[in-house]
Amino acid sequence: MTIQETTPAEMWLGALIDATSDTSNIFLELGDLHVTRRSDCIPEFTNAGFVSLVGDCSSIQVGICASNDACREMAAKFLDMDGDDPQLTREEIVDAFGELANIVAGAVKQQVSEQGEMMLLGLPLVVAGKPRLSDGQHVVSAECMMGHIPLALLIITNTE
Amino acid sequence: MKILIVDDSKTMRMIIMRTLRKTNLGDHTVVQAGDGREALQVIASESPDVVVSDWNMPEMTGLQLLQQLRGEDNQVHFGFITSESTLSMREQAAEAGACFFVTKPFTPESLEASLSPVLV
Repeated sequence: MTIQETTPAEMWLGALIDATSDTSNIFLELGDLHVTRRSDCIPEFTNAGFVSLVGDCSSIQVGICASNDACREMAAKFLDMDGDDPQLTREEIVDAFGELANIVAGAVKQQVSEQGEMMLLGLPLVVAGKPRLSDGQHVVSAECMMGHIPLALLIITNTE
Repeated sequence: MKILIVDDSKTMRMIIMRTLRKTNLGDHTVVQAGDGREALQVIASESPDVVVSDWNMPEMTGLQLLQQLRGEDNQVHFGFITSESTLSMREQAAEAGACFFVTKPFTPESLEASLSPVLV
């Protein structure tokens, strides 16, 4: 399903796309992010990094999903290593993916705060496996290309 | 010039080091610590000219680190690089004696603009 950028969740997703594009340019030197598809589904990826933004009026989860290979490539870029370097550890990959989620969530918070909504930033959580929604949760997502690396961005909100 | 980078994320320490290399801040050496407590040991042994610290870290936060240093009358140049940047955090940092406060994602230009005044 294709959606338009009209609801608060979609506005947050727009901010997340901008923040991830900035991070791609500044820290990973992979250029602008290219959005290939927007939907209201959890994307099919095997790893997810989440950061909660908790405010007086609303709370959201900012998420990034990517495959094992994509996580490895991003970590290698962050750490100035080759993607196939056997010295790149799982711990370093998780750290890099969590830090990416942390950076972009902080930037989303900054953008949202500039519009008057004060929110607190949680700590990053990296999980293996496809995330599932709880009852009452809603997701909007964007599948993207960061250079040649596929990933998905998502915003989870409570429908209440 | 010796710069101490304090962050519990190896990724972020690498990003800061790489960004520093792209600035025009001149020759510098970098030492690292993974949290505030480890940073105290490195400061004692390495005597850095500048400390660049994360805000949230296990064991001892960046703010606690700065407060302890100033409590010991250590006046090393100290600043924060962090994802979150509220007015309250900036006020606490300034009150504790921080010289700069940088929000991620930062560029070589923004990092240089924050660091260069304290390195004069």
